Amino acid sequence: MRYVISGMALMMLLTVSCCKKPVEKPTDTGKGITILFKPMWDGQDLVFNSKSYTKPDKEVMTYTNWAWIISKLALVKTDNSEVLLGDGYQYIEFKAGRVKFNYAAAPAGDYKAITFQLGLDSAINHGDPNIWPSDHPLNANLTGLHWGWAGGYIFQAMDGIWFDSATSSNQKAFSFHTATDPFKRKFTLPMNFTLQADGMKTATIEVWADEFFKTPNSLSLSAGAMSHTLGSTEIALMQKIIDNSAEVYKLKSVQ
Amino acid sequence: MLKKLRFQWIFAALALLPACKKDPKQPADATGYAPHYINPALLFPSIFGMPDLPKNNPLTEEGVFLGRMLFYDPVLSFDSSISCSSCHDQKHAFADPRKFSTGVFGLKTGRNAPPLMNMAYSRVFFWDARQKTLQEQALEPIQAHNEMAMTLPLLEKKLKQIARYKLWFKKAFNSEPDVFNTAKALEQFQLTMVSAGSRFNQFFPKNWDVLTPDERKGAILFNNTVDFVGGVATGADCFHCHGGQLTQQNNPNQGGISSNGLDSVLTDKGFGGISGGPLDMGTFKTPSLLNIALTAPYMHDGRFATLDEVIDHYSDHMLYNAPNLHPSIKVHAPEQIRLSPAQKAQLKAFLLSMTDTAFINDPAFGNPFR
Repeated sequence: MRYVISGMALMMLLTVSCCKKPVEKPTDTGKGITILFKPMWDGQDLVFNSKSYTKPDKEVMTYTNWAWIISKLALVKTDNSEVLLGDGYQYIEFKAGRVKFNYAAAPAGDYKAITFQLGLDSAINHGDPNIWPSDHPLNANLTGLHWGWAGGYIFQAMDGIWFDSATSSNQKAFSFHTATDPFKRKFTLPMNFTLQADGMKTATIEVWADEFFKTPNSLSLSAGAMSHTLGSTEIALMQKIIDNSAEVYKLKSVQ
Repeated sequence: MLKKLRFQWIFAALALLPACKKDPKQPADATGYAPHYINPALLFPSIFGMPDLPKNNPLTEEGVFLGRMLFYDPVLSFDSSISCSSCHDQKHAFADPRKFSTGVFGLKTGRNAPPLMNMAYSRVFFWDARQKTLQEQALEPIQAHNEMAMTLPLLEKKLKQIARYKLWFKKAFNSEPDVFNTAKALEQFQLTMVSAGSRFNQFFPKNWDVLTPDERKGAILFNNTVDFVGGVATGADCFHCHGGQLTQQNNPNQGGISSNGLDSVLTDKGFGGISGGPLDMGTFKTPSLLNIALTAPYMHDGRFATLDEVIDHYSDHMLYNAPNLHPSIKVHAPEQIRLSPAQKAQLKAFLLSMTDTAFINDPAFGNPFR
């Protein structure tokens, strides 16, 4: 009898382990929270490729790309504990419209902020990028933001063209890429809100692109239009970009 | 007795395993249609990761074989004179060694036929990135007047008259030959064209022992961003658009569609001709560099006959006033990289390490009619 029972157990184990249903993707069930990232310039939706923007120093720029990899995307409860949204990773690609993410499993409760980290912790950043499923935010082929060679991801890529002034015809390019472990940065966006058990809310995080070049560092493209990881000049510029990011993200509403 | 019973249970349990491999959503139907599904995890190498495969076209052994027959069969062209393989030669990593390909009636194509490999990872197809799936891509050359010049109704009619296609469409799709499943079969075959066996793939990113000393120096030039020490370039920044194991940026917005400074005045709008966007004019799909030694001539119009010419372009002749030059290149204007002859030879040596001889000799991708 012992063998019969153990045989049955083995059979059940194999059946469950090899024939279990694939993990279902979350769907919009009308519960939880949707996070919407909304890029803007001076209060208007940011337009890629076809619209030019004038900075305070009169430089005129057009965005052709802006994408981020974030981690630890979470809701902050009133007791300061954090509720991770999904696995906390997300890939945001503004130009492609990959900006809206639904988290149906976010639990009901009172919250006081939304938080995320621009970039990744070192172990993940330097781990094997090929372990992630094709639709995961860290899949290298999806994002195109894994460096492969140096190891690690580009946390933020912002590219485009610019002119010295509105009358200049000398087109130039900017390419701000931020990466490497020291340049991950956590942002917490405060706002009190409540999620109900039977309802869904949308949190709109505005991304003020114009602020990127103002505070605390005034960034002139003529002084530096490229940041990668090479040389002290580019590293210094990357630091300024990250510092300025604190003024870029605004939690506009949760409703 | 109990021992016997124990083995019976174990055999019964083990017998469940093969059954579980079959997709439970696709059981054999009443007609006996039971294709053999291919497990993508066994097809795509871990060094590339898992691609985003088409949801409406699961890979099957029958579908892949049907696609392979179609790929090599000139019946797909109007006068049955050329097949896909006429312009996509396995010995050249499925590229065409001619600058422009020759279609039916001797008509020439307008662009160089690109190599075909690792297509499962591509998100756009054709030099001008006008299609987003291989299914959509597959029917275009068949119908192009200067390629196969076929009409889809005539194609379907011809296929239905051929016994092997009646048999294999039934096996693969449980259908009569038709154009939609023709596209699916061609997609399946192309999805299986995985090239991952070059020394470069063994090296990447840090297995330096695989490379010769010159190749190592070339690898460093390839991977370093452009900078100069004492007037000498220390990097050529190839990796921004040709990074990773695939040596190809596949995200269209991160350099997967871009201009590499070939023309100040555009004669080919590229992706701009499709999107109409001013900042897309003169941009093209970024190709993989795997097997690049085999895929001459180079660029969308086959303007460069040799790898030396390609390296010279990036080193010495970048046109910074080319419309919509990719920002990662344009930020270096007006500086030319000016690699030394030795550096060019090192970079070339590294590029030559990207040849996958197993891929170009793999009978699984060869002509099934031979």
